[in-house]
Amino acid sequence: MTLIVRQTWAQVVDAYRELSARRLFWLSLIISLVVVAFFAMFDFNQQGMKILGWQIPLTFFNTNIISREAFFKLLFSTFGFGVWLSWAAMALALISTAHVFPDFVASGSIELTLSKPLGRLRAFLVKYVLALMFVGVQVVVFTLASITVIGLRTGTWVWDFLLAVPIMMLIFSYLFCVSVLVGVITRSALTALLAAGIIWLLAFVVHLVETAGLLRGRMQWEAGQIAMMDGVKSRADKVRELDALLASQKPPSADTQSERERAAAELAEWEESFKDVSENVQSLTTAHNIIFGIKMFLPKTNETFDLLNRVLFRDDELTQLANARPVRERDTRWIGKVRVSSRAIDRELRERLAQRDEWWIIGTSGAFQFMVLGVAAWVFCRRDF
Amino acid sequence: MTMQLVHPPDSAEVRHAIAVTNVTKHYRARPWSKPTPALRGVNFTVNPGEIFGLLGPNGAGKSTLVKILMTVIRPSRCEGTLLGRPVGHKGTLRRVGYLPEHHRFPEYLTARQALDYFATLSGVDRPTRRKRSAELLDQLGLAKWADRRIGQFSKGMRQRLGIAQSLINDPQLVLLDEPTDGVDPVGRRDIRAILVQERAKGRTIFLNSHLLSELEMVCDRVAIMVQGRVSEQGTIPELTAYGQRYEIAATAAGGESLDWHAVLAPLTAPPPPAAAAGTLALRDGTMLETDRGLLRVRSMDPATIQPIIDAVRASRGVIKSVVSVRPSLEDLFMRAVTAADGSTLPPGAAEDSGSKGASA
Repeated sequence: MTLIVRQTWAQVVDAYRELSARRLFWLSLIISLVVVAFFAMFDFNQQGMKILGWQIPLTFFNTNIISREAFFKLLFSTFGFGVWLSWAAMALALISTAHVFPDFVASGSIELTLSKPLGRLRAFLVKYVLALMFVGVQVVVFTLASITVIGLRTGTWVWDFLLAVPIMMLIFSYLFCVSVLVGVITRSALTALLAAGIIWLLAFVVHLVETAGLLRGRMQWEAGQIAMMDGVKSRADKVRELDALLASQKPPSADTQSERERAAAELAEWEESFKDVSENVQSLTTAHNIIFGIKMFLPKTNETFDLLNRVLFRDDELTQLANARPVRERDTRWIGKVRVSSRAIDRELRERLAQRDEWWIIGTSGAFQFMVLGVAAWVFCRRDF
Repeated sequence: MTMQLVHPPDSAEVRHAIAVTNVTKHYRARPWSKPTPALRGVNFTVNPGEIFGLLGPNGAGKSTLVKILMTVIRPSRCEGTLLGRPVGHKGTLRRVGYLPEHHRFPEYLTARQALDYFATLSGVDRPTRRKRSAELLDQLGLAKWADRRIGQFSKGMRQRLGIAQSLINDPQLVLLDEPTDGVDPVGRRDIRAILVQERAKGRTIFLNSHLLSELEMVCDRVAIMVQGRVSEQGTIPELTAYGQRYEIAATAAGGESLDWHAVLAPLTAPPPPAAAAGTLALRDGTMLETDRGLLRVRSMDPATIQPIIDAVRASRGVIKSVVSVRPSLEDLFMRAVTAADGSTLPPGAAEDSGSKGASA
């Protein structure tokens, strides 16, 4: 036991030395603090936004619409965590850790470790966990700095932001495991980085296509289909009413006859359009099911990040935010012969995505990670170096 | 400089530092491709407290063998022990030091940090680590560079650090793969001196090197690997016994060539029918070869050549030189890697047919 503790501690110290020797590690940490300092320059009031005392009037975005606390949460979660930490800092973390496993398994280096009384699997897993831990350090620093800034500006200490630490580490781990697998196989940091980048891009594109593309489209067309169905039904009722009227008229009125013909023609048009809409709904449903099936096997980086917003924002805050922007003509869309509100669809989409189970998001992404890391560990343990 | 072995070798417990039989390793380029043999049943033993040299041409499988012993490569088959425990037993590696060929230390570490790190992985406690790091850095001439990053080190300095690393856990057995690679002659001499010192402390040293002259200078026993097999092993005198001889150079009184057959007639037995021309045999069976003014006596017994010298003098011949000749390790090596038709055996572990390598 003492030997295991001693060896693990040596690996911890070595991992710290390795990453701190990389300028990128410190650069990333400094940029994180600069980003927080930049956001600290912002303020929010009844007129709109204020940057270093310079007032920017915003009629649809001020404290009359959302609270100052919600504004800072939005600022940090959208730009601080959503852009800097989950994209830029994540990319820097992947770059600064891409070399870890290729260097570890490099010829002349791995022999020094494997010839020690240290199991291969333990050496591998400790190395992996330590790389994650040092990315965690970056997130912890950024998160604490963000909480401090929000606390000092609003007097509210948003400790919920601490959830960003495990969430960001989870997202990083989904991608880092790919880097590890490719790094162990190819011993090339560049290839490992490229592979992680491809999976990241793939996960993002699939998520975008699945949610903003197919699911949103499907919901929009389904809403149109329902509205069309009502339209068809009302027009069919009208035709039936006119038929009944014509039957009661002795002799039938020419006007009624003409009106009945117009109604029948309109009904036929609507039925035709309804058929087209229904076919589109069917196609979108099939496409969505396929892409959703593919998504099952990929890491859900975006949805994992969205778990943070689920905790940070209350429903009323989200609704306020969604309604803050004035309604425009392009916020509605023609589906067949009906107009469907895009804003209503967006709200429904948001609610539907928010209903996706956390354990499904983390579980399926974790399964991906477990599988990729398992293969990497197997290759590492079986390989002749 | 005083260093004591933490794990003194117990000869009663450990008869051999290394004893392996039938070490076999096959590689496959692809899972479906035909396996290529790298080692084809290697057998050898290393005694405690000796310096054992492993030599062989490139691709003979020397490094593969060492890596199998150090659990870096998984053997296809391996029977035997390392310090009395089965090969592959991780715990045994606490008592083993290893310097890989073309080793690469993390360049972000200083020499002291690197030694401390690898000592910790070997399970050495902190006070011992500090003490031994300081001692070894001093011994290897790196004391002034102890707190410099390895990235600034020359090849020779890295090699010295590698040797320090292999000794940091006070091992019973040290395996060094090309320890003098990239080291200048002075450095090589220092490293040889260190190896001899470490042997004197009771450590067993397994040396894998191309530099035959170095092996010859320090090794107690050697093994020659050719095409994935140990073709010969033993002490250098044992292995070179085949070619040990006296060479007597002499001429007749007038300076013309000596008729060895006539001069040695009283001492020799009738030559066997199949004897080659120029071959004679003394009555005790010692073989003689004549080559103009040179006589080769296949014996290292000085008493054997005394009657020959007397016979030359009696015939008024002039003895120019009497030289005791022993084949060098290089001769031995060349003999091992030369096929029956005189060509040099190709690298790698060839198929059985036509291969000179035979299991020892």
